Amino acid sequence: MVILEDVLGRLLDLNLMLVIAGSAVYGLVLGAIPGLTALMASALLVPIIIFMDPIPAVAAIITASAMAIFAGDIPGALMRMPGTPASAAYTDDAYGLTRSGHAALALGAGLFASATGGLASAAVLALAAPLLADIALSFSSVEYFWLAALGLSCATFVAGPSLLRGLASLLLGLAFATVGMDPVSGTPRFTFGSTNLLGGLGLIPVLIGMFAVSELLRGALADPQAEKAPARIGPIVRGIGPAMWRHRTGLLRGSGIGTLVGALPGAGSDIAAWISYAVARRASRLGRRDDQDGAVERIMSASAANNASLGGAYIPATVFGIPGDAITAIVISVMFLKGINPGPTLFLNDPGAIYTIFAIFFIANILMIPLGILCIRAFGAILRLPAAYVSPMILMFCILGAFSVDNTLFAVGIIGVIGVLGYVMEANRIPIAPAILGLILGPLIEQTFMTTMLKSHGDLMIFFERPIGGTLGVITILAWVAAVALHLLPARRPAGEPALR
Amino acid sequence: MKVNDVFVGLFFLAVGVFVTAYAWTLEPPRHLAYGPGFVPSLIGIGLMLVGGAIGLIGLRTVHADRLVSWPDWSASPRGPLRFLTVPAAIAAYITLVDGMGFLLTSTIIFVAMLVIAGVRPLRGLAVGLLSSIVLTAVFASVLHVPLPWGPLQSVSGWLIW
Repeated sequence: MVILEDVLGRLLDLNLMLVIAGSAVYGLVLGAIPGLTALMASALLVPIIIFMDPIPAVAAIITASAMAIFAGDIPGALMRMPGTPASAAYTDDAYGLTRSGHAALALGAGLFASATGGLASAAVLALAAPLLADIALSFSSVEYFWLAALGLSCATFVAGPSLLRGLASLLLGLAFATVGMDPVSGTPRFTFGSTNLLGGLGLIPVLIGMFAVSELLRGALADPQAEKAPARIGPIVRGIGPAMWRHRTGLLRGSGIGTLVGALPGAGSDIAAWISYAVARRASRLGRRDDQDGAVERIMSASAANNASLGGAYIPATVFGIPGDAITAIVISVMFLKGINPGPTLFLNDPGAIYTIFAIFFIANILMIPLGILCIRAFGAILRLPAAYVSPMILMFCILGAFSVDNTLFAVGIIGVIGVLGYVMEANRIPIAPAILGLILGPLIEQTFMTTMLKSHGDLMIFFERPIGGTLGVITILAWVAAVALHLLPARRPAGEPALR
Repeated sequence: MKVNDVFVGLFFLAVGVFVTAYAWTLEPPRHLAYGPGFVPSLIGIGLMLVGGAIGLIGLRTVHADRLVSWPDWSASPRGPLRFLTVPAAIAAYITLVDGMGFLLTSTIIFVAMLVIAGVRPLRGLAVGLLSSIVLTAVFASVLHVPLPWGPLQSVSGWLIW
């Protein structure tokens, strides 16, 4: 009861409400612009929220990222150009509905499924996170090591059709993570005498380079006049109730998959959307169909999943202090900066703060419906904004976003180099998500591994001696064995294609 | 730019060799069995193995596929120039901003990118100047990011409050 009063007291703050409303509009606008992702929206918020109080700072990221994930559906449905990678899975289905004159259905399905998925995951977050926190209090470096290893493994296996390419990307990200001072002895590595590199490459400049700058490079080659948006979208709310009831199983399944995938450290909203889409396509009677109903089923399943994954990602973030995806990695950094130390002790030391953060999830997802409808209506105008004017603005935001982290031009150089690298990697079918997750989780894996080895005097069996740690270890190893076996099975690949690509 | 898988494999192999070789130069402290080079050397060996495998598989198609495929430059006549503008703008920013200040550098970059994208120079100048002023006001005044002013230091008070 005391906690409830504390939470309500924190929520009924005009400043917080204004931050939520402002970041909702910001997230919708950025997510709707192709090339700007929810991750990018969160990263660009850092220089602004760094000056805010802790709760409004976290609220801004939660709201903006939830809005941006949904808003990515809008250009996807109207222009076949997903605004965020999380919308890519069902872009063809949504665009197909638009071309057959059902743009309102495609966008309405995405909007209401996103809100449903977000609310479902927020409920799971509020109910399950405290229970998980109790378990997490007994975690040692062994459990954290396996949890991080499992997250990296999952991300690599579902990042693309080629295990080898996913692994190459992961190892590259892990190599980037070793730049800077060694976490145990403090020895400088790969710094080549540069003081700028002592603290590592910097997550935010690398994120901006890999996602935004590489996207600008890809976008520079496309003809901005090639695709035109339809003139009129039509009523969005009409008929959505019966549609949601008809596709309730897909909505629930998507919400469940999204929350689970999001909770795995290393797997984000785009992976959740792809998995949910794949399940709907293969395992659902409605989703297998090639008609309008089938498309709506797949859109609702995947769209619910990508928004549910946001809530899911906050389970490891708040309970273990381990980022579920890159957005929560930014949130964790901001929480540390603001003196809120994510992890199991947060539930003991400041439960009001953590439950306020959970409550913000509900507010953001409810707010998504009216603001989302307004955004869809306004998008006709944004679509007509020439790309020629948008690209330089995005680039300046990238430069300022990177510079703002440490106020160094070195970070600006990093976005250029990493941007070109990201572009070349994607052009050669090397997924970039595993590299980013390697960079995020690499230091944690190394630190927990080295700490555990110091404790055990070099005995590797310590990784299997504790019940939870040992179980997680066996699951991780089984996941690797299964992944390699599936890639080697002849039935899974077209004739003439090599087993491990 | 897509290259044949043999080159993709060779790239990762080369990175792996470099990481491993560097890691071996890192001496572990006397009291530690596993030093700062242990994890990087594992990563380097992994990169060599994965790079080698990608390269070997690529050898099967080396005669059928082109060694280097350039992007479809014909999609947009100004595409190649716009593509090169992005890294060039970043390099120009790093080179110019300390001497010329953010406002001037940003305006120059805006105008260059807009003109290359087909916007008329005068309109580009107006849009570039206005955007740079707004960005300066937001980042310097509201967010307190220490943007350099260069020769415009004397007028910085107009936009910082």
